[in-house]
Amino acid sequence: MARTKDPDELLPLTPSVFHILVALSEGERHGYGIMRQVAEDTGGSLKLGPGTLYGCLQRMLATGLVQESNWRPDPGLDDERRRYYRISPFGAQVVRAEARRLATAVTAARARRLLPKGAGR
Amino acid sequence: MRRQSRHPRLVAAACRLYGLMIWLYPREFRRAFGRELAVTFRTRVEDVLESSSIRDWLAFIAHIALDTLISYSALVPPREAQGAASLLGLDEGEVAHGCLDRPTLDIQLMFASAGVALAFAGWFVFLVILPKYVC
Repeated sequence: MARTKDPDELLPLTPSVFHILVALSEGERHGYGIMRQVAEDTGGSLKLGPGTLYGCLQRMLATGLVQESNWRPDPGLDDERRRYYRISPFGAQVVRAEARRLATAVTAARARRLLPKGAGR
Repeated sequence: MRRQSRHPRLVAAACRLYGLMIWLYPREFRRAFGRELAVTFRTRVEDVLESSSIRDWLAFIAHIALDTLISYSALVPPREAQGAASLLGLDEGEVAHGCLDRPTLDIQLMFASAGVALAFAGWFVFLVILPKYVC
């Protein structure tokens, strides 16, 4: 798949891709770590299954949004078969652009009193 | 620290069933992520077993069946679906003339997933619920 250089070309992101990028923005994580972080970030409203998660990661690797880390866990501490992923500089640009787009949408909704006071802050 | 499950037999049986489900995915995807899918599933099963509530288990089984169905649909291009038709003994012409199209295959996969979910549920009832009442 050809890599695009303009982050806006990939917008809007699907909720799964957006939350995976948000989860990886704090540091490298393995698949299950991403799943747990996404569930926590969304208050349990978005629970990724293994198939959805790795399907997204496959596309995100191809698009250059994420990279595979070379780091492997200590076999005594964790399963050495786990692979770790990190957000790429391009992925960081894309997630920022998507966050700005969502913030604009929330501002518009708030201006029309579609959100209760304090929601989304 | 890697933990020991309190229900090693249940975990092993669930992982074997999920291992069969992984074979539904395209070969390339399986090669790239098959082992990770299995490891992630295993950790998830161990977490769900820790909670040991029947409701959580049933929700988990439904979630995994649905996840497999949705991710399969997203990963398999229509041409491979036609390939699956040939496995069913139908030739390309029958597929092309609408005897078996993509939605039909998706419905078949839905039933297959439901079958796997029922197998999970049956296995759970047999190993976990029944012994409590019989013994």
